[in-house]
Amino acid sequence: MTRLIDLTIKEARESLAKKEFSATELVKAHLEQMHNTKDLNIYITTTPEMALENATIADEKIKNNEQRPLEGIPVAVKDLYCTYGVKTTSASKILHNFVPHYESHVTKRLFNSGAIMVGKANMDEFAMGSATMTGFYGTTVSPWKIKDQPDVKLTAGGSSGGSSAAISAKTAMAALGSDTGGSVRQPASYCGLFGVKPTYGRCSRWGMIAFASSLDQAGLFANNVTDGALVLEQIMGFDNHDSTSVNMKVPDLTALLNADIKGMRIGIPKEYLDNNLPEEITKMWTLGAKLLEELGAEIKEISLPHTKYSLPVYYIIAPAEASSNLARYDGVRYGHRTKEEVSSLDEMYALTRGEGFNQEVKRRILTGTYVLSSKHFDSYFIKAQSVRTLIIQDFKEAFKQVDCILTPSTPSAAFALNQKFDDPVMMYLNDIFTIPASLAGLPCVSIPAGLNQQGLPLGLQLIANSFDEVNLFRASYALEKSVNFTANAGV
Amino acid sequence: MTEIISEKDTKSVAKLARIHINNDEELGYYTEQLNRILGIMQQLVELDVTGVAPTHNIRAADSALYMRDDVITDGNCHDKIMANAPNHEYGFFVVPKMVE
Repeated sequence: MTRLIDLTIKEARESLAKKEFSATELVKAHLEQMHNTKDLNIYITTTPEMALENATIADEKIKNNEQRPLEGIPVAVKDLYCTYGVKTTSASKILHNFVPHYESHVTKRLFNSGAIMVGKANMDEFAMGSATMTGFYGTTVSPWKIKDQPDVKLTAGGSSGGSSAAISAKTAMAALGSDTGGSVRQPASYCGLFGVKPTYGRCSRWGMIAFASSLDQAGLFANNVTDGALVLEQIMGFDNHDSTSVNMKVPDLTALLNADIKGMRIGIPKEYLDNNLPEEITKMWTLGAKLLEELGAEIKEISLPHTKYSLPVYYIIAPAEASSNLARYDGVRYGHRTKEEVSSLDEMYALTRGEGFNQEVKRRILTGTYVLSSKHFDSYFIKAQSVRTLIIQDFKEAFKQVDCILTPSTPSAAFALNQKFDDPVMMYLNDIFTIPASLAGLPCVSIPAGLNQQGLPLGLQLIANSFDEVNLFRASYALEKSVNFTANAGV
Repeated sequence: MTEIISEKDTKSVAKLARIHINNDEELGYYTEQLNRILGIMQQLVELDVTGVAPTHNIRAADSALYMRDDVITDGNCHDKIMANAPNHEYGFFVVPKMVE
C-alpha cells in the first residue's frame, strides 16, 4: 500500500477531496515521520499541536466543500520566515528567543491557501553557508546515503538544507526556502528535488529575515515540477510592504503541464564549461540538452562573457548588504544581549554581537564593513555593482537568442559533512553556477537529472528571462518527463 | 598569499562593525580569512567599467518603486514591539546604566 507520506501534493489533493483520508490523517503521518527522522536534525522548532488544530479546520472545510488550493497539505518553513507566535531564529544565537508578532507575507499567503506548517526548518545561520552546518542549532544530515557507505553522513546542502532534507525525508510535502546565491537550487540538487526561485520581485520579502536585500528571494522545494507549480502560484504576488515587490499578474503555471517545447530555444553558455568540471556533471548536462532537443527544442551555444566575475561580485555585494542588514542586532530591542558587565553602550553592542553571531556571519559582516568603508567603497562596492550591470547585460543579450538557459546546478554531488573546509573560497565555489542568475534576479529551477556512480542525485539548472516563469515551467515539465528521475532517499 | 589587510585593519573594521574580537588568535584568524576572500576580489581590477552605471536595484529599470498612500496603517502595537525586548520598563527599552 502507498504510504500517505509517499503521495504527491496533486494526488493528496484529489484523495482529500474524495475523502479517501482526512487532512488530520495526512498531517499525522508526516508528524510521525518527523519523529522517526529526528536524528537528521531537520527542524529547529516543530509545531505538531498547531498542525493538528489546523488539520481539524482543514477537514471541516473539506467537509463543507470549501477547500482552498493547498487545503491540508503539510509544509515545512525555513526558519527565516517570521511566523506569528512561533519562534523564528534564522538559526542564530542572537535570535534564539525571538517570537514574531507578525506573519511574513509569503507564509501568510501559504497558510491562507490552506497549507499546514509542521515545523521551522534548520538552515545556515542567517542563510550564510552552503551545507547547513554553521547554524546555532547544529548540522542537518541528508537522508541520502552513498551506495555501500551508509555510515558517511552527507550534507543536505545549504543554506536551506533543513527544507530540502524535510522533503527528502518525507516529513512534509513542500518546503519554503530562500535563495540569495543558490540556497534553494543547490540543496534541491543535492537531495534529488525540484527547487525553484522565481524572479526577484515576484515574492514579497516582507517578514523574511534579511541577508542581502538586492538578492534575497523566496523559493521552495517539492517532489516534482507540478507540486512546485501548485505551491509557487500561491506564494507569488504583490505586497505593498515590500518596495521591490512587483505588481504583475501571477502566471498560471499548472496549466502548462502538457505544453510542448517544440521550437523552444535552449542556450548552453560556453563559459560554464571551462571549470574543470567532473565528467559525471558534463555527461548529465549533455544528456539533458539531448533530451530537450529530442522534444523539439533548439539547442544553441551562447556566451555570457562576464561569468568569471560573478563570484567576486557576489562576495562583495552580499556581505556589504549583510553588514548593513545585520546592524539591527544590537541586543536592545530583541534577541540575545550579553550578560557581561559593560562600561559603554558600544561595548554592549560589540559583546552582544561577538557572542550572538557565528564565525561565518562575523566573517561576512567584517568583509562587508571593509568593502563599504569610505576608503574602499569605490574600488570594491561600486566596482562590483558596475560589474553586476555587465553580468545583467550578458543575460539580456543571451535572452535575445534563447528562451531558457541550461546548466548544471552544482559542480558536484553532495559532499560528506566531515570534510574540512579551511579555505572559505572553496566552499563559495559550490555556488559557481547559481550565483550569476541571482545577480541578474532571474527565475531559475533545479531539476533532478540522474544519479552519479555513488548513487547520489545530480541536478540541472534552467534559467529564464525576468518574469518568464511560463517558459521556465514549460521547459521544466518537459525535462522532468524525459529524464524520468524516480530515485529517492529511501526513507 | 599577498596581504591585503593587516591585523590592525581587521581590528578597526571590527570596531566599526561593533564586533568584539576575543584575543590575538581570533584576530589572526579573521585577518587570514579576510585576506583569502579579498584575494578573489582582486580579479575585478583587470576590468574597465568606465561609463557603466552601477546596479543598485535590479527592478529599477522595469518598474518604479511603489509609493503607498500617505495614511497611517498601523499603531497601537506598543506591547508587541516591547514583547521581545531583553529588558524594558515604563514602556521604554532599558540598557545597562553607563557612566562615561
